[in-house]
Amino acid sequence: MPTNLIPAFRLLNIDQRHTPAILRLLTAHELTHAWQHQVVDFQKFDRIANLDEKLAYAAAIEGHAVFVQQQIAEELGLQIPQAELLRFLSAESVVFREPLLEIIKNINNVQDEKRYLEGQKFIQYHHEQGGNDRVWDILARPPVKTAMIFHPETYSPTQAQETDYTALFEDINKTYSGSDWNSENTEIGEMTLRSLLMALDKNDCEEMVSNVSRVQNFSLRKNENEHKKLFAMVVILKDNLFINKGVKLLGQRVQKMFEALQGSAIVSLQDFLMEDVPGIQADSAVKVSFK
Amino acid sequence: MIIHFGDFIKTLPKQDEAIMYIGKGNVIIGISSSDMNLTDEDMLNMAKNIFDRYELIQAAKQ
Repeated sequence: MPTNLIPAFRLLNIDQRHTPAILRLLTAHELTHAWQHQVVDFQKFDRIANLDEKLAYAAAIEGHAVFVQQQIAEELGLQIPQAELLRFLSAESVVFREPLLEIIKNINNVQDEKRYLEGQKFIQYHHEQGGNDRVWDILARPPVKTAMIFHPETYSPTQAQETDYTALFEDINKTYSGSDWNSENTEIGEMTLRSLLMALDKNDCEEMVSNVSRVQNFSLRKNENEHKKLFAMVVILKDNLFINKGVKLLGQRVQKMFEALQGSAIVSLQDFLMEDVPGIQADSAVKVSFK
Repeated sequence: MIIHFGDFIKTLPKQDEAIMYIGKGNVIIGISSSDMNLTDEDMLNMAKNIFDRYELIQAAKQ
């Protein structure tokens, strides 16, 4: 048994009487991965370069293991240990007193939670549609976007022809080109977007995600000076009508994270000011500056 | 030390750099920087350039 499990269970107030049953379910989960390994070409995972596609594949694989684990729990009457194990996998399970650790945990856990629990719902949906044959077919030809995990009816094993937005940052990239700069220009999928928005209230997060069509992210770092960085993100909405609310929510997201950090013992946060940006031709603009 | 969007824990030695979200039409641009000696005007020009590029991409799709 992994030695970190017992302290983790204790932290979550998981009754020790459930430990043997939870271990059986964890074994079922890991044996499912061994089973997948015999049937599915896992090397395909290493060949995927696109982050969102990789996350979607991981969600299908983990979701299948949680799905099998759930079936076994029901078969053996282990629903309570299974519920405890799912609580173990969920983002709200542990609360850190240090705000910085809490924020980092939430960002990481939102992705973990989505991978396991939304992955399970994705597999459950396809199992209901076509049984185990369909599930194994999907594992062999996994979804290519994390949005498909959240909307299983949109599953496809092939990338649709979509507009390439990498050129959005071409001029900025040229300005800072050279071997001493490191740049990344990637699309952000739904799973990563949800973890970026984790500071928002649940309803606001859902509203934002449902109004977003695409997100392209650009980051630039100076190799020899870790402080020199530039980030640019382009959020393309489905509708112009959401523009003011969208800007407001993204500003709120920053504000909420900063406010959450006020009591931190690790970081000292400068006072910040949130204001409208004057003198720009735009529908809506906010600026967070530091006093 | 502060938090930047897009990349979470970053140091910010200079206090004159900001985080901006600018929305126009159906596009929101978020820009933040650290120790790049960028003024507000520089950041707004970058946003304008990205909006222009977006229009070019959309026009090419027609």
